[in-house]
Amino acid sequence: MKAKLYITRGVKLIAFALAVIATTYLLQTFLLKRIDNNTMRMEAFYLEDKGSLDAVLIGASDVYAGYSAPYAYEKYGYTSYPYATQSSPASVVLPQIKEVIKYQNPKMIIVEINAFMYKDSELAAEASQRLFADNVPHDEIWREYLADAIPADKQLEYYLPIVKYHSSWNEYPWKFKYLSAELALRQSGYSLFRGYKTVANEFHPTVKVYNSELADDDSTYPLGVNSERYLRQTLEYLKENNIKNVVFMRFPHIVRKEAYSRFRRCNEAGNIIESYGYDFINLERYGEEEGFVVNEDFYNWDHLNIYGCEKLTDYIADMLQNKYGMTSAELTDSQKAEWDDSVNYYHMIYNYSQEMISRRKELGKTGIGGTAVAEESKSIQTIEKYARSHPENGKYDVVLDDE
Amino acid sequence: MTYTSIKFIFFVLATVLVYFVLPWKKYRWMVLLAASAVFYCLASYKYAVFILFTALSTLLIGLWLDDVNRNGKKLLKANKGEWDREQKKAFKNKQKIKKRWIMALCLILNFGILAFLKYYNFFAGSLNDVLGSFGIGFSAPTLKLFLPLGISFYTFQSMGYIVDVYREKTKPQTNPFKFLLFVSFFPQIIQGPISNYEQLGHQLFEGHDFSFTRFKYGSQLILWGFFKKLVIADRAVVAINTVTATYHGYNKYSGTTLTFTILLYAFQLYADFSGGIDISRGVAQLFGIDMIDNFKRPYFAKSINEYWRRWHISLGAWMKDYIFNPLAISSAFLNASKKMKTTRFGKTKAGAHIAKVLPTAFASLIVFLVVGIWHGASYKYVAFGLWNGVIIMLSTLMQPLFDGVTDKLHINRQNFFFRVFQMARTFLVVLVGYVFDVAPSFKQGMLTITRFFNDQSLSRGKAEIMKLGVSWKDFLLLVVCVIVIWIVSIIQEKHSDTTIREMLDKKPFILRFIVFFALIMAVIIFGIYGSGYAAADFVYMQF
Repeated sequence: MKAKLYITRGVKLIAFALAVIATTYLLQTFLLKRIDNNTMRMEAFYLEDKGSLDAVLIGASDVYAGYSAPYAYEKYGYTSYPYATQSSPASVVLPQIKEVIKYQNPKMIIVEINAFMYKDSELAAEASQRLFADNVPHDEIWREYLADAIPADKQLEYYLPIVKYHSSWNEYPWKFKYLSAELALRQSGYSLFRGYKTVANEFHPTVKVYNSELADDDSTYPLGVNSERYLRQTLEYLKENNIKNVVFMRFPHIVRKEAYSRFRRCNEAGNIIESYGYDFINLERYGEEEGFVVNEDFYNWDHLNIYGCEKLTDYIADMLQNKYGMTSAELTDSQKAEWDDSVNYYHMIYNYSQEMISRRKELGKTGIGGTAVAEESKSIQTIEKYARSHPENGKYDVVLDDE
Repeated sequence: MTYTSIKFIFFVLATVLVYFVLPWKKYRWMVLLAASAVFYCLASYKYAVFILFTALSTLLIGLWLDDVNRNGKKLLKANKGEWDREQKKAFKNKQKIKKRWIMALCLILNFGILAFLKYYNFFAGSLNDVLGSFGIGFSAPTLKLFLPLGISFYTFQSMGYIVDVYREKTKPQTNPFKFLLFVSFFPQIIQGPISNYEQLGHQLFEGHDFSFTRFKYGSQLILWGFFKKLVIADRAVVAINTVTATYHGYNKYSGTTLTFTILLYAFQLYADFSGGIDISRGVAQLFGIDMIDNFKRPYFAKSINEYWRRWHISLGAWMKDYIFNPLAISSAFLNASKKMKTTRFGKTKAGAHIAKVLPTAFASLIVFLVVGIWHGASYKYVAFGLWNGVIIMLSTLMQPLFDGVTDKLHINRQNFFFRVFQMARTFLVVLVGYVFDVAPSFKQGMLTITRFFNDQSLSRGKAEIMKLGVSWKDFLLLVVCVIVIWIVSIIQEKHSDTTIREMLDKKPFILRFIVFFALIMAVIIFGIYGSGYAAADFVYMQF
């Protein structure tokens, strides 16, 4: 009799506990998690077939705005991916490299060095750290990262992200626009945007800029103590493990007075990188020589627009093929079809952005601003709508909703 | 380690495990003592000396009192045949005075520490103001003082014990460690309830067996407390803190916003304090210990007197036992009453009533003055206490008048609408008292009351309220939660002989499953916790 009571009680308790755990898991991995183009970019990277990427670019927003993987695939035939998140800090670069090698082991890894440009006080920005830590598999690399960069009393929140994100119920219904895109991503198993995000704008600075004077300026400014430590740690790891297929880059930026010390820090970082025997290509310094035009190719101070993005993608592709011997990808038919989908989407993004930029210019709007185009439902609806209403702009193979 | 932190949950679970795993039942109280010591030291180890002093001084003086009692009785017994009545009376009086002095020593020592730490700066400031107004240059220095965790609660609890020993209502504890546990029991140290030794002490030292039902009820009570504290109180406090953040900022708000803030405070304070007490009682229940309930649906009270019998019941009971009753039957008050009865006014019907209730009316006024000062060292708390005291005093003195009017108007006292009217009236009186709790100073409390009447503007209020750092979705959630609490309170009020938990226990498993699942999910999703928020302390922790 007593045994029966205990069994009944036990079963009820276990059922209750399981329901609570399952629901909490569902909430924290889906409904209440942070979802935006950053998290989806990270998630989509892990959806790529293992070993199917030829090149991976690591960095911050400069990377996903300045490089288009679908465009590179269409024009140069290799597959690539921007493994990048907004304001990505120095502490995540090495774990990112480890993740990329573990999950893709690409022919080339390009590291944009923006992460090392932050002051030490900016390095521990939780939101930026979490864009990496919340969106990668909870493996050995992740655990090492937590131990290294996250204070012990905050680590529990990384194991149980609901503690951090439970209040995001407040973001509904607005959040649905990302949730539906997330659903679509999970269902299709690959990203239409392949990590790309842009803002349709052509930025014309109204203050003095120094881009035309930088090529001869090799002055330096010290990196933050921790930034330098992380940079050296990364380089030492690469060297110790004989990882040679890594090139460091600085993407083009518009350099104004406020950002001049950052430009000088790039030179300092470049010296450190080269002292370890790795290549460093500084397009912030030599950008103008390489054809990047301040009043045409940027949507704001730090990010290239679609025109700048194509120029930079051309530059990188050319570099990868001619300097590092990058060859075209060998893909299965289904992989090819998925990349073709992305190419088509990229065309739509390009045409839509081009139209928006010219409209803005007609209205005299060349300041900071413009329409963001990223992998979320509103953007997808907008560019698909645009494509439907402008069939003359290109041939789109994707099946549109109303067809 | 606050009661709402994950650390505390693990701390409690670990303590429960050790408590029930320990095979020697009679030593289980030591687990509670060790846990209480760890809890106290983690929160405030630098100031542990104060609680140790209170415990030790109270224990020793309690033993001294007991010694005097026993020796006195022995002496009386030894001289039973030799002493006449007068001699016995004189001896008893002498004994009484001696005991009083011993008890007073304990009260002065411990209340002295509390008063010094809590009120020194307030009195020094007031003294300086008074001397300054007479042009006297002397200035009492203000000191950087700190309040050890739970000092008000453990001091009141210990002093209640010493008075009970003095009155021979309680046999003194001889084991200093057991007494230290009574003073520092961790579920009650932050904000009470202020327990009575007879009610709590013995339960602490009994080795309780594990009971699944008690464990279940305790857990459910903790969950309910978490809901009140994390979902309601800590959400509402954001808006309240925005309004009261600065003296200057407070003055800018319209009467509508201030009215809204006071109303919000009523719900926040109830959710915060009763939620905290639910957690405390729930944790104690896990160990098989029943602590007294501190609340009985206070906003359903039909008079301010009744409100104080339903709100912070343990403080009310303490005040009644140790201040109100001694005052009300003190010779000074009784003599005043007698004197009034002999006057011409005292011989009228109204005068006779006033003379009769005068001791209780004045005792109430003094008690509430003390309650006000207990809340904090500020004139605004004095005003809070006086407001409640004066209302209670007037209602006691004028009771026949109110009864007469009610009878003249042929109002049925059991009529539903009349009872609702009484509740609304009482709630309004309570809200006025809260004005002094919320306002940063007495002056601003008065300003708030003025603005109730002359600065109401819905459009301005709406615009201001939307900028208090709480979104409309949060406000909507608060409304829903308050409705939930209200419905639960109505059920509790209708079935006061049992608890909701016991009622639910008789319902089908699926219903219980849904209720507790929803409650847990509400806390997980809507609770204010995690690194994005600064955990709000319990309001009564500061008192």
